[in-house]
Amino acid sequence: MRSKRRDILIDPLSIVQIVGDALVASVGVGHGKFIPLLIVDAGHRPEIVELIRIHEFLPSGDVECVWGQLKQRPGSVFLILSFIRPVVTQTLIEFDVRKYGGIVDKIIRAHGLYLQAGKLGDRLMNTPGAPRILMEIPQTDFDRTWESIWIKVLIQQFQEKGQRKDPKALALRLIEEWRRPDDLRMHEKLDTDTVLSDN
Amino acid sequence: MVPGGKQRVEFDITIVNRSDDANSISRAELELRGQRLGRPFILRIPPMRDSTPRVLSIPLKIDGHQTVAGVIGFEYDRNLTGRDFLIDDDGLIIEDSHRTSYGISHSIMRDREIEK
Repeated sequence: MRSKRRDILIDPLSIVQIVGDALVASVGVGHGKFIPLLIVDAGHRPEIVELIRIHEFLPSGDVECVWGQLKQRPGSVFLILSFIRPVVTQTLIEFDVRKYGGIVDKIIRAHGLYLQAGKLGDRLMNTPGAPRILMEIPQTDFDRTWESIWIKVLIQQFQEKGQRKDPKALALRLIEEWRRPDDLRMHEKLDTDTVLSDN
Repeated sequence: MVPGGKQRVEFDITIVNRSDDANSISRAELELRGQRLGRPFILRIPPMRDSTPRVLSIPLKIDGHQTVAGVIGFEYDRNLTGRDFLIDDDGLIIEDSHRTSYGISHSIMRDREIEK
């Protein structure tokens, strides 16, 4: 199957940066799987703050998701979120693959993420009551492209650390280890949310 | 402090399906357009559930060459919009089963009433 590539015009001001991330598993959400939580700096995007707040008053909304890359930022991948309702807006979440490659992989494999607006220094542990929304991230052609992007970056990182002997094998092993907890599920008897990590 | 209470908006409408084929209203939304902290802001609110006969229940099938008439009502908490949202216009957005959207501005409807 050929990859469906298309160019999209984006407003650079619509890019938001990640300031915190975690993995959250809840009974009854995503079959109890661990779902990534992203806390994004929305200081310059008040409509994103409102979008999340407004979900408290309205039923679930609609969003279209596309993964992409920008020529100007080759080290990053972007999740382009076009919100259709309840608020009409668009945002791009930037993932520096070196720093957030693991989180991108978790989003792709969990087919979802929690989005929370915040500021630098915010963590899940110090913002437990903050409003957040759960979004489904459907499977796309990017899922296969992603693996090659991540492997390439990991190989580069191993080489920079002086690991010359078969860095590709090391990258594949790291990915395998990283994905091992993906099969874990929160069971019904444990009725609280579990946080696996809060970076 | 943001004022509490509910805001209710109703649209009394008539919809004609002039084609030979059945169609349906698959979605209806109240769209509020304006500015929030100096940036454009668009909010879409789903219709309220109401079992009274004059209220149209969405989704709604309309057979070919048939007409339906009634009210589509929206009710929302004033806290939903907040004090920073300056509403310039609001309107009804209807989408049919072919995903074609039709918009009716509330301000245009008010103007028409004045003309009568």
